[in-house]
Amino acid sequence: MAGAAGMLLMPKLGLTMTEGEVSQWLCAAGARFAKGDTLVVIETDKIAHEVEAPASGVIDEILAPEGQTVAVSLPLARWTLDGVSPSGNAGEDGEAPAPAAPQSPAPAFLPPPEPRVVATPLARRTAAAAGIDLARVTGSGPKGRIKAADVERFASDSPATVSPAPAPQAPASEPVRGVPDPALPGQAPTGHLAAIPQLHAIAEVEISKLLEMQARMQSVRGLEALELVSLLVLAVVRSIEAHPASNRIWTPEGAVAIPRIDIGLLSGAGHGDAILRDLGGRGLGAVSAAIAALPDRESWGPSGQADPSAITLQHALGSAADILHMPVVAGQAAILSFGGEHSLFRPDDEGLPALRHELRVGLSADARLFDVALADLFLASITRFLEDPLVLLAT
Amino acid sequence: MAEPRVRDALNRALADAMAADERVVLLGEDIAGFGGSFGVTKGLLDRFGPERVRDTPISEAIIAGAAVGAAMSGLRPVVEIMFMDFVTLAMDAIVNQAAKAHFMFGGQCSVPMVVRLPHGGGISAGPQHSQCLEAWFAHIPGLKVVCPATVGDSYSLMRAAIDDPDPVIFIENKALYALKGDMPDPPAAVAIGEAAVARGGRDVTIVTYGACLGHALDAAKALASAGIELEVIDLRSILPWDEAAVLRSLQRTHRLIVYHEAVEAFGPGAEIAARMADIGFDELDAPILRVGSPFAPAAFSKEIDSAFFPSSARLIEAVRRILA
Amino acid sequence: MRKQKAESGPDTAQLPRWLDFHRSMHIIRQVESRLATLFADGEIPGFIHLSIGQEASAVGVCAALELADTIASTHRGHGHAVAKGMALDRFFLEILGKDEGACRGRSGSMHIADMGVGMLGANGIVGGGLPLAIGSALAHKLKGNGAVAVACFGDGAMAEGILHEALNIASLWKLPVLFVCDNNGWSEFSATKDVISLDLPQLARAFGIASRHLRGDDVVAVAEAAGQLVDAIRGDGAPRLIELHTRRIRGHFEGDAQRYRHDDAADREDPLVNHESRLLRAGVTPERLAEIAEAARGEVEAALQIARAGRAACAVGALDAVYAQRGAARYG
Repeated sequence: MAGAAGMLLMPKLGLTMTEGEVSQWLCAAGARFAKGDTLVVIETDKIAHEVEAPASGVIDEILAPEGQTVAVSLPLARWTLDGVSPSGNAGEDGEAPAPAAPQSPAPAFLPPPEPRVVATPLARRTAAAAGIDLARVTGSGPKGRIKAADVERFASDSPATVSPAPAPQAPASEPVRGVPDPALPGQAPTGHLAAIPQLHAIAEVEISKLLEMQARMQSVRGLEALELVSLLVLAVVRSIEAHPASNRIWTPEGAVAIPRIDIGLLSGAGHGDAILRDLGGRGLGAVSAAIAALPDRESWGPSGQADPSAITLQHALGSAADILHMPVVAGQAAILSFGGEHSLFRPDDEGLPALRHELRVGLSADARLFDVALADLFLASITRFLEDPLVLLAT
Repeated sequence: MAEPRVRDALNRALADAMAADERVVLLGEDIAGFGGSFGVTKGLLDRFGPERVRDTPISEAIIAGAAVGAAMSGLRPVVEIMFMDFVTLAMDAIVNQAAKAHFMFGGQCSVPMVVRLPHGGGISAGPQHSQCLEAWFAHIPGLKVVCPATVGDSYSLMRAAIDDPDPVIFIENKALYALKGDMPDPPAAVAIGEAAVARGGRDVTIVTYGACLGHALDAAKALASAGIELEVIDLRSILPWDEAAVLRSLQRTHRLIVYHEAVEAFGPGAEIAARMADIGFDELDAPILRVGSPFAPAAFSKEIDSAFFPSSARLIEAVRRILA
Repeated sequence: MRKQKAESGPDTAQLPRWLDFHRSMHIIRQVESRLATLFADGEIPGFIHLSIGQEASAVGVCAALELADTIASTHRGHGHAVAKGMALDRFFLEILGKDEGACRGRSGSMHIADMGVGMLGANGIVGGGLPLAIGSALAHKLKGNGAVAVACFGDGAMAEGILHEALNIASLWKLPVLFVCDNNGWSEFSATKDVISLDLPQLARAFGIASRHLRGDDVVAVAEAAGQLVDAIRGDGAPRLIELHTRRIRGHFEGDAQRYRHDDAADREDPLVNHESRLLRAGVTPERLAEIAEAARGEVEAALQIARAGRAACAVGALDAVYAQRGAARYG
């Protein structure tokens, strides 16, 4: 069987990893290994990772003994893999034979793709001009995306690492992370709602784990009918408990706290609404039962203005619809609008594109009750509960 | 004289164009004696007579189609369709005849006509009197599409549209007819296809047109107090649109939001975003965002109408996202 | 004096005109017969709609028109283009998609136009020419040039709302329009009687438009009626309508196998044969008629050869021709 000599390299195990420590060799020099065998354990400050053999072969020489720290992409060992063409992961040490004649059927061994760095086009351009390796830059944007400002910050923090390339074209200013206090006119075009200043905020929530958990729960007797909306309501209840300032309404005398947690529920189809009463401290079972006990959704009546709930929830689950920013009306503090579930690719821990399930949640709030900080905290809380449903159930 | 309104500027532009060129004629439902549903053509019948200011039957197809034939035979007709929604009944004339004639007949003739279309919701006019359908026309080679947002531009773009040898879709936002503003004397020179920077800023570029311009400027004012400077570009022309102006701004701000009242999906913003993602890719420091109406018909209810309208609060929310 | 003596014998004063009709109809017949073979041979792609059998309509109506008059035609518009005076080489260059064609190869058969002779175009949309003629008539009226616009449509277009809008506004505004209906009994692939319930004389009457309804296989009768109507239009400015019952000898388009068609009792005759009989009765020799037909054939062949030698249409130029003025028109 033809083989290919090459190098086993230090893998890049995360976006920010630059080096790793060889914790333990599980395969001695000269020993044969089979595909899938663990060869070596690598540790970083975050994780311990077992490096598996991509194909059978033999370790020719260990170059990095246990305890040694090795930079990403530098060799750990010299090896020979069976039946692998030298154009594989075999390194560039020139020992590989000339391009082998096509062999049938070659094992489907592909090199692990270059870990993907998620960065904006401008950040890439800026980094390239400054000679900065984006893999070393920490991104501050959504889901760790590297922005131009991150590159600039990196450059000014560690000037020595930057090659003397021409200075990057700097934006006119640091991106502004602060947000306004939008004590805005209502902007309701007809003017009749303009009395209530509106504040809008939005968050993107990954619900892959939530959907997985819902599916598993539905296989449990008694929970077959568990709907996603119950989990959403529960996350909102827990978030209100964490941020009691959200549970207030505006009256002519000013902000008034509401002593218990009621949630208004607009049906997705918009036929009417209902109020779920006194959910404070209640668990998933109680919330789910309260929703199930609502009358037929087509005939929900309008909620009485006299007995308001500060927070109203509206959703488009099961549809392709996006969130809707309903204007808040008198007696309401905020409307949470959940869009339909959708799938999209996001980078995983390795920086590789992975299919995720997400939904968007929009917050429309009375700007006299919610400032931007509260809006962000409240949405962040909901996001955290939905992204990690175990925390939601345990809280 | 009191500050003129958009309606007055359009009226004056029509009058001045008719006085300057006897080939200019007006056609439309109730535009002569009644002065037009939104009062744009008031007084023109008395000044120019019934031959040139013509009330038509409620026959959108023949109004638009006759304008094409008249333009091919030497007139410069200006057609008013009462609400943009009704233009569905005139689409053959605009899409199959007017837009194609210059090309299809090998340049033997052009079709110098203007179709005035009042668009826009927010007045509880319901699903059939509120739509912003400009993307349809921007998709048709051979047409030009403009949508002024100010008093001055309403005058200058109307004059430019009437002078243009090609068919121009002239979109007026119903919410803007009563808007007051400066009317420079002499009127400013404006070319179809030329955007204006309505407000300079360094942080985020907002590309907008029509009634959303005012909301974008409101948002810019509110955000300025928090140290965020929006650059607001008034597109003015949707076809052709000023790519260079948008790109210049993107080079300063590296962030782009397209903001319009039309339904977001497949709206004008889709083309602008796609084009900038192509020619402006290396300038981008965040995904391009769009803020428009949701994918639904307009509704009668004030609550729904308001909820669907892409308010300045929604624009601010998008600014926060793009700066995250 | 147009009045013709009742079938009493040859009207020598009319003879040159009649011979001219004979020549014009032969040219159109030759043009379209050649188009049929060119299409069958694959030399012309796309759609070709022939008016073979309807030549008397085009020739008779256009005989009443001046150069300044305009005509908006239908998808079956070759006859109108040629009868209105379009040069045959310009015509063939266009139909063969050449750069020197009247429309630079962008219209082909279905949209052929020649503004220089007032031919506002064949039209790919059923009823599409009607509003163009209305607008053209409005322009004539406002300019006061005394010209008439001809609005051609087929019986299929009677089902289009635009006809009703056009009749209404023409009558209302007293526009100098002659509506011409070539009623060949076929709405594309359906018998018109199966898809349309209206009666055109009644429709014209409903809008207060004076109309004439006659067989379209007699070019002299068509020319006479059209002449009277056009004179009347020029006199009072009001619209008129003429309906000509004709026979579509070919299919809806070339390549149409016409399996739907079981009629053709041929109650309408071939207008060319019809007119030849009249000329023979008037004392014209068969040799003279054959000579005219042969000359027509030669003229058509010569034009076709010119067209075949033309330059192919140019895609780059076409991209630049979408607008009369690319980019910005400026005010101020």
